[in-house]
Amino acid sequence: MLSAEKLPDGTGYELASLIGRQAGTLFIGVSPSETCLWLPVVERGSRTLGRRAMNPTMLEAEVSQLLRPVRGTDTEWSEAEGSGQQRPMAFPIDPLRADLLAGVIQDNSVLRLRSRGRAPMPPRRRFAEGAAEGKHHISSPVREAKPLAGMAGKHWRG
Amino acid sequence: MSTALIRILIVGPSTSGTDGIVKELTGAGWGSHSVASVVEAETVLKTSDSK
Repeated sequence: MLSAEKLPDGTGYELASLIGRQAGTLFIGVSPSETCLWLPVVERGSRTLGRRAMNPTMLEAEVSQLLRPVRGTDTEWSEAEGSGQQRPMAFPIDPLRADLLAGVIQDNSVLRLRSRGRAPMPPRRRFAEGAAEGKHHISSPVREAKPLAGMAGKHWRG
Repeated sequence: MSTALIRILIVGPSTSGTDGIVKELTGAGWGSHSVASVVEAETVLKTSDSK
């Protein structure tokens, strides 16, 4: 099922439980900007909202794959692969696609920052290191700090 | 009467994105059905479930 996020009498998410009970698949289309992203909300009966997002091209491939005849055993697929047929994709968390989603979001923010001439934000790890160092400094005795007397005058050019 | 198996339900207004996908899948022999609201979608799902 392909659904818009907002509908006249509710949202597409309201269909998730019913689709889940029928072991179906629900994709919801959202439009964060001028493009459209499709969020898998339920995949073959399992809730998967938040794991990944797809652009329209990826959705088309995904739906085509979903509609392919279901094969039951690995043996069948080994035979099928031998004849050049591709094994259908399973539905674990797909890091590549999650990265793609993150990339889309980061690209937008970086583009905005670049247009303003600002440097991109450092990775979170550096914040953690900085915080750890800061904690160390706070725990150091205050008396170790150098006195600031006279420093202000040295730099004053008024 | 169409013999295509309906396996795609589209809920909400049609967009260029859904239109393209439906066109591709219809060409491949799959059937689709469109509804406008949550209530209509629930009705279709419950009907298909009871069959």
